[in-house]
Amino acid sequence: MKKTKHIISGIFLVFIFAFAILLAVLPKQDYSQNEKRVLTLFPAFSTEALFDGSWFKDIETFVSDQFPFRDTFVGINAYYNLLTGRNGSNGVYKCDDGYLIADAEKIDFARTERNIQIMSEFAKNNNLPAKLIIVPAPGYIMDNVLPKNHTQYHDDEIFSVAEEKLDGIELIDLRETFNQKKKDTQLYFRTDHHLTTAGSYVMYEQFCKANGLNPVSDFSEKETLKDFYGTNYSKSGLWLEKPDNVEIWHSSNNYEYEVVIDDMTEKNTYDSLYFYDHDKNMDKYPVFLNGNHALVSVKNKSVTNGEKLLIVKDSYAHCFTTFLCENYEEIHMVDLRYFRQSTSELIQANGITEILYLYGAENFANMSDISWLR
Amino acid sequence: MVFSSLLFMFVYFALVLAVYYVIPRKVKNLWLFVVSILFYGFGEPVYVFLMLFSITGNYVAGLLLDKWKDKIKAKRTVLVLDVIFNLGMLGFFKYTGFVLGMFDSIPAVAALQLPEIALPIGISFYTFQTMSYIIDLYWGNCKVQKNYITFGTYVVLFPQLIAGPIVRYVDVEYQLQYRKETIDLFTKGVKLFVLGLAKKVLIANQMGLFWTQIKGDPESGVLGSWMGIIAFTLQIYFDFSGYSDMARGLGNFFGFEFVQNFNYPYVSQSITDFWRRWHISLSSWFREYVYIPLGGNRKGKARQVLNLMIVWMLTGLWHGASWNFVLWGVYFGVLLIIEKFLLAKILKKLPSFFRHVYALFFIVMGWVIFDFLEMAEMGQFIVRLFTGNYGFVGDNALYLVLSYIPLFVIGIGACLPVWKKLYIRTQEKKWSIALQCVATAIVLVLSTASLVSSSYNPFLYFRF
Repeated sequence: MKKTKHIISGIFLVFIFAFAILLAVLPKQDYSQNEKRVLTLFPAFSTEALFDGSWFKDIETFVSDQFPFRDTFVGINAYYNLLTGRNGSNGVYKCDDGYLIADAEKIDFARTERNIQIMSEFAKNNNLPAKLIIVPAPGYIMDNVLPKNHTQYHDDEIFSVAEEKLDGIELIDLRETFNQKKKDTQLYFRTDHHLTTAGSYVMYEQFCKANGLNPVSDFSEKETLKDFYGTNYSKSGLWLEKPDNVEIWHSSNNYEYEVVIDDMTEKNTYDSLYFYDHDKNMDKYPVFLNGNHALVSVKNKSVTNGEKLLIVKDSYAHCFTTFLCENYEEIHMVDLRYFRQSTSELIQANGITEILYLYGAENFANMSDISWLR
Repeated sequence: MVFSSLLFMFVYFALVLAVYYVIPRKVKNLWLFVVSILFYGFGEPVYVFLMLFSITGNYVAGLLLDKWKDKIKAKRTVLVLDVIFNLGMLGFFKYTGFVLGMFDSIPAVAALQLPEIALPIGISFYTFQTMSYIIDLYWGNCKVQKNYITFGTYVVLFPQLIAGPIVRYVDVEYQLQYRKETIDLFTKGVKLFVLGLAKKVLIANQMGLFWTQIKGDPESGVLGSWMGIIAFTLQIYFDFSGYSDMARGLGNFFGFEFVQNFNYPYVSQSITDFWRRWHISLSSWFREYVYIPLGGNRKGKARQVLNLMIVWMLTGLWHGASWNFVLWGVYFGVLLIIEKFLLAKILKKLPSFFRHVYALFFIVMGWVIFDFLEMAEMGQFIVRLFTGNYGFVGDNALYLVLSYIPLFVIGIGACLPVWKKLYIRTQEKKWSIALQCVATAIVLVLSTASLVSSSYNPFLYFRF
């Protein structure tokens, strides 16, 4: 009896020393797929770093970045938070039907108005017809699966500000269509904030309708990439949730494309809209047009209708554009987070005939990068 | 480096402990001294020199006091010089900016533009410890410490270095040289450390997250603001007492026993009661070395009131170089005086429920003063608490409040002494030991998980 009470010390010592030893001997990781960032390795010593304290600080980061079974612990913490009532504490709600949905952002409506003004003026200055698609936040559309206790999404307010303030730009409002379609179509990924291929196709149909185009509807093959773990999954730490599938719909037109990806420092040309390299990663959404780049230009070699579209966008445009390429001779996608050149010059140089702004609702409302549009 | 960090637990502590138990007795203090200096250097390496300076100054003062123990005048001079030495250091590093700030309307002062002085970690704690040694030596309560390493170990010993408890030299004089590490003490240490870890990581840190989201958000409304300040009330208690528990546990691992620093402060029935239960080592320090030497209550009521106000202003100022801390000290000084001379008799007649409500209300209001450095923000927060000007509850605050209900229940429950009573009654029973083991394992896993997660920063530029 006397001795059993010391078992507790045994547990403590085993725990501390087991992880201390594992930390010392386990091989170190230099990259975290979940976090999409480089992990800190043991810092090099220098007298200077010692005295300004940075060496010790780096050691601290090293220990937490390289801690044994780091992801497992992150998962334990995420499920513990969930069990103790804090669904959404990582910024992602665990919802019904396996959905992981980002919480609502605070909206800076002054900024929203400024963004709208910049977009309106830019279209006017370039004398081109322009449309705007605001992709509703997943949590706004999928409110039927959200947990009861959640913060409010501000999409309706964002749409009314847009309707009121847009000047010479046609707003394509997806809310009604999405609310109807969500019953039988999976519009958003469950583990990611993006639209699925089916969701992007609905958006594509709506754009075609507004623009008097004929949407492609004949697909020869629907390819499926399995085990897609999206960004909300990574953010949530809820590792037991199920992955998504990414579908690629191949049109029976079999058009030929030339895709030029320009990172401002480097320029590469490809002949496909799909980048299968990303199939080996957890995050497979970049399979569409290779993810985020400053400027992506797609030339449809099989179409010569003279229609040339500029899309000023965030990543919601990527899957959508793989459909739209069927209808345009050229599409130039500009991402203002990286693109620092004059978009007007780009318009002049390529003989653009029309502009589309395409943004997720919260990003549309809060972003500051649009001020690079000049 | 804080105790509740991966680096501390799985690198520093593991190493210090392992080596400590294999080296011979003779060098154990030296080992503790060296690693404690290293611990201190972790935050601000250059301040290691300040630490050594402080140790040496007080060590020499101790030797001088001993040498001149029969010469009253010389002794007094040494004492005065040593107190000036310690308070001078504390004053320079902690209060320079504050004092200059008071005079910055004078152009000459404003033009000085002194560089910001980083506050050396734990300076408020260790200067009080060294002063306790010198004052007690002067009074003849303890013997001189002629061994530099032993004295240095007392000052810089890492468990109590950065957040107390403020260990008086007389309390550990014997332990410093003749302590014995036993398995009983070790197991006691494990329990204290794990308990403290749970308080700090699983309750205080979470309550802190809640409070920071509410604090600056006027939209949180009446309900959100009250829950916010209650969260801070829980945060500061579990943070501080958790840290003290870890410190005491760590002490136990190395054969030390430190005084208890908290004794269920939130079940107090009066403010006087609260200050007997909150940060006990600090209030007893002020009582022993300031209040009683000033004459305490032995020189008439007027003098007692003055003494109390001096002690409480200093207590406030000790917590930080800012006006709100002075106000906080004065607030408690005034409350204690009113209690002593007026309220005590009335309170006695009230049912205990009202005494609890009374004490808690003023404790919580104290935390409002404590946590708002800017008077304007403090004022706005008080308006949020007591008027409907900012609505009843905002959207985000409502979400947070509902999310944190389980943690509030756990946190408030953990403020009650019933669990400790239950533990003391049953601790030797088999099921209780089993439960303790399971709880220890769970706390270790969850705390580690929480600490690891705080470094988990997905760099997801997806949204944009």
